[in-house]
Amino acid sequence: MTELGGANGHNGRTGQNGQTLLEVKDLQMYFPIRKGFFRSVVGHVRAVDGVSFTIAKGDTFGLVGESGCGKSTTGRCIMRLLDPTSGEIIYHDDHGQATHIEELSGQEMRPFRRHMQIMFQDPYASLNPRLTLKHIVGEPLVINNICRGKELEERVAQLLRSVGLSPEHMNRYPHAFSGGQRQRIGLARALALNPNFIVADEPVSALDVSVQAQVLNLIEDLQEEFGLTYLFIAHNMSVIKHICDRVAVMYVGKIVEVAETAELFGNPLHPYTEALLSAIPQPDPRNKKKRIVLEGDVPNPANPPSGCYFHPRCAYAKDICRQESPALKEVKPDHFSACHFANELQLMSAL
Amino acid sequence: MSDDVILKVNDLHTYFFTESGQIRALSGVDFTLQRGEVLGIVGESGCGKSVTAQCIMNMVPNPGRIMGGSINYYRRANGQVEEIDIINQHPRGRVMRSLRGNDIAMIFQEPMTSLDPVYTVGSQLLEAITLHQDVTKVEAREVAIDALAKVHLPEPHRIIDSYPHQLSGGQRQRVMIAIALSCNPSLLIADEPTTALDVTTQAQILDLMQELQEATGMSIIFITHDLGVVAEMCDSVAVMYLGKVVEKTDVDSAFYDPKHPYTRALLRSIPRMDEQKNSRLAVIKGNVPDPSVVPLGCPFHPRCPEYMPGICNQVVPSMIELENDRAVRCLLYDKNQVQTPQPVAA
Repeated sequence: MTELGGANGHNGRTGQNGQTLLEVKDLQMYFPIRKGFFRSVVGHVRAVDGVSFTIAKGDTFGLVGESGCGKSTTGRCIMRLLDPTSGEIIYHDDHGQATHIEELSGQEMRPFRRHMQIMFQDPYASLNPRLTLKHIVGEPLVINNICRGKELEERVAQLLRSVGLSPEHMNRYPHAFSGGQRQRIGLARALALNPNFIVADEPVSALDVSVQAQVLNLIEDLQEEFGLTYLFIAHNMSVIKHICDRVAVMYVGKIVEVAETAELFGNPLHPYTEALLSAIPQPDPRNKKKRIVLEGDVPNPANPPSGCYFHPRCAYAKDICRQESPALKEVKPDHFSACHFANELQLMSAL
Repeated sequence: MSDDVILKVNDLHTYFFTESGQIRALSGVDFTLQRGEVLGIVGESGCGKSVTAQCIMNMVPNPGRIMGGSINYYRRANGQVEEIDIINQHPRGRVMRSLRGNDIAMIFQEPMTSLDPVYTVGSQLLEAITLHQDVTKVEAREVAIDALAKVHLPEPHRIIDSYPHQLSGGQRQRVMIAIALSCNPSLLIADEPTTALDVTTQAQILDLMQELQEATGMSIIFITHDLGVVAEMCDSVAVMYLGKVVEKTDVDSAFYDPKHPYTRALLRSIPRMDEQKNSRLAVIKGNVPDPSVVPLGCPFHPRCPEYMPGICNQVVPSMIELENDRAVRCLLYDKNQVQTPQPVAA
């Protein structure tokens, strides 16, 4: 396999208390494409293609992009629900000890999962319909031999209260709950083992607006209460802007821009970010600004274009964009962009 | 004035008779659509947006039945306006069949499930054209290629012979629009046409729909839950909650001067791009109630921040006409109910 020029920038940053929680370095996840009678490998879908970022302790790090850009795959690789092709995922625990997650065996990974949990997008598919709430939320506790019996019930009740559900509902099945309530159950399950880090994979995109606001507020409250760090994956830019401290924009398996939320939205340095920001319909009929409408579709990650992956749709593309893949570099302090002309372009902000 | 009206829906009631009881999917939907107007119907899931669309097409699925109210469509033909009472037509009768596709067309949310995977795009397009227009096969193919070109699909000659799975989500939605518009309908019902699409593709489709609306002057009923899409696309808005239209207004006042407490709460609960960091989102307490157990009185009263005990939980509000063609279904504005009609501004 060829080494592809990817984002090798460190884009390091330390959080409010100066600690890094998770480092991802040059992560790659290739899915083989098999064809023919012998199922020989004829190519690879480069779902994640050289992604690097650092998440500071206590931060909410947003990963945003369109479907198929590899944001969920990145989240799943970090959780080791998928085994990455290459790259490093380093977790720093409270005692300053660094663990290479990608090297852990299945058996070593199991106790490690206490530190990091995931909540999923679809609240209808991520809860087992044949288990009661007590079993769903209590399962991580039982598996890790933390408590059982009366103690388990108390802990589940406490977890349900902390996500705003009533403990009397413990013996009900998921079908009795609405979408927003199910997402709360998913959160309670993720919180069961007192994790430090939660990957929230599109936690509100299946919810109605009024319920979405409730769940977003809950996610923020729990962060404060339990000192959580989030990797927040979403495609909705307004939600990302609301909840994240720092945002990475992905396009066809690569990070094209990373910055603090206000900086990224106020001063985008990549044409794709600009287009993404201008494409969002604003809930304000008096502010109908000109949209940048991108031509064509997102390229197929099995057969990406040459050079910069964005060049066939980019309004500013020049010859160099067709030939050379731009690296993610620090254009301004703490603001990284993978564009050859990041310094020269005057891009429109979201505001 | 009535000459310009294309569709009038009045006090529509549609119930579903399920084994577990009667579900009142619609219990009071009123709106009037002018020719060339783009009306947005917004609301959360389960509020009856899609059932409203199905009623207008007179294809309410079993076990649903239209129990009351009226839907009048005003067809313009040969310089005359003919009034068609949709709910009294047989769903499979001659009149409805000539109306669907020809006068009223519909596009759906999920472009993959609404196109048949075993037929080419062309044969699905030709079906609509040959059913409604008096053309030969060769002419129909020309019309079809024209329709595909109109929705800006690259290489329409190639696309017409491809299968839905060979197209991307955005392309499929363009094909759906081409099929819907192939017979030049006067009214297009778009049921969440961009919900399944990415933001950049959504921007393309919204632009296309705007362009086609301006070119043909058709009326559109745009069903969506995204208030941003409403602000960009629509001239007027009908907000629905639990089977009722609770507010009907022009788009500017819907966002700048909403009257119904539900509309206000909905607007406050969406994260905005221009908000200050660390501001908390305002929430509507509770959940949308189950439609089989609708609360007494105003269905919104258990969640309403301006709930008036003894009034809202007993009196079913009716649509109250305000100035500028606005209407709201809230007892706060009913002069017979309260002395202080103006609540605190949002």
